[in-house]
Amino acid sequence: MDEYWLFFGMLAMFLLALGLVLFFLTYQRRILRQQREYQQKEAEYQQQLMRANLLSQEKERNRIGKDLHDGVGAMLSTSKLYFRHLRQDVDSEKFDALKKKAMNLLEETMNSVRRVSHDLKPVVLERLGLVEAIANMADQLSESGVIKVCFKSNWVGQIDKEFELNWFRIVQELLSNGLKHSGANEIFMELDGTDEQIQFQYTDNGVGLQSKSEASAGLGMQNIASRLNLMQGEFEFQEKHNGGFAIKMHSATGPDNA
Amino acid sequence: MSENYLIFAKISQASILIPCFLALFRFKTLTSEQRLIAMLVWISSITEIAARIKIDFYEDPNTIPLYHVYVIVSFIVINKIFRLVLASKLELLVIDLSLFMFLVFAIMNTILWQPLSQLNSNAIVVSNLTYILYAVLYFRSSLSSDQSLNINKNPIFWFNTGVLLYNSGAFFLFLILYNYLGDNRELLTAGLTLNQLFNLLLNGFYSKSLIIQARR
Repeated sequence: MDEYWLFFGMLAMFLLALGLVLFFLTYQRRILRQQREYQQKEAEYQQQLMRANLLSQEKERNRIGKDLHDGVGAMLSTSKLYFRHLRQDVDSEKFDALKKKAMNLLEETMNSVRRVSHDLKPVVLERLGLVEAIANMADQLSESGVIKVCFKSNWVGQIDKEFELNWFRIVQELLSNGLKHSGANEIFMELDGTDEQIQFQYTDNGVGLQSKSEASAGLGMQNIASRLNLMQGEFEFQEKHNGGFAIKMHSATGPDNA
Repeated sequence: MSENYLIFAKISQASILIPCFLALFRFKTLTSEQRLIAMLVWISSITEIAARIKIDFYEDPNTIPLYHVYVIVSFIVINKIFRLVLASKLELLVIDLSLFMFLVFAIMNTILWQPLSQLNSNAIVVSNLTYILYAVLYFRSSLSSDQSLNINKNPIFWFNTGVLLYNSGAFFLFLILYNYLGDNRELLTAGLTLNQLFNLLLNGFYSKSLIIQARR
């Protein structure tokens, strides 16, 4: 009887230890599999963001190309025609009329080039900084009478130039989405933060989101996500009980603070 | 003890030579943890050889004093191995404390309760329990680590498994057999046979841990 107890005891302890080892191996494999799946999803997400970024760049290039061709190109061609007709032997009345038309066209051409150039690199942002640039955008939209845009900011920190441009484009994208898709007549934006972190809140009284996943899949949102990702930032959609769209985002103010 | 047991015991004891020679031939390519395992294996081999010489050439079957020393020295080496592979402050504290406490206990046990003429089963049982604790700590540490564990490139996994399996079985043997079942020779032989089997298994795991080309 003692023998059996001894064998049983030793075997039981051995099997318990063996069970522990097998549990460890199984659990470890599960953790590794989960890690691999997470890494794969992360890589797919990064690819998606990159694709969205490239698509957006191409779209922008096409738009600028079209603006230059249809706008500037056409006006310069017409100007050339007028200048061809400007001859010394033409009567002075006709000469003055042609000269005036040519000068007006040149003026329009310069405005078009200025507009395209502004789209490429906003002057207000360069000269006055992010807060003023956003305030400027808000004012311009409000002056149109179509929509009321309120912008509030107490932030007086410094921000890296690349991050500043990213934030400007994010706000541009949000305003563009708001105008095109939301049907809102009021937009509220707030910029806040510290020397290390910048926080931005956007709210409108439009139709809101059908679903968060649908919103995240849109090209505009993917662009925003991509830009935030570059700045190690994050965003989250916020619930709005009375309809509309609200989003909160934040990032560092520079690569050193990321 | 029966003839069969003696043959089996000799085979089991001789099996330590496999990891011993593996460690010798591969020493230059071993990592620091593997070198400590090699040291442990050599210490075990030397103890076995010394015991064998004592029995065969000096015809003195009392090899128990050797095991008093062996239990302490092997504890120090195994403690060093786990100290290298465990990372958290709490785990290291446990390792250091247990070394100090075991050394004090083992020496006091030899002086006060189980002198050199008697097998130091108390110290052996305590060391078995401590090794089981170290092994569980290692598995826990591996699971909570954010680095993946490739068991084909990790010698400590095999060493740890061997230590856990052997000591789980041996703990019960030394606890029950020597402390509660007195001079029952048949039972002792049965228990020791099982122990030799576990010993073979342990040496197998030692060999595996020394064969592996570990990541540096």
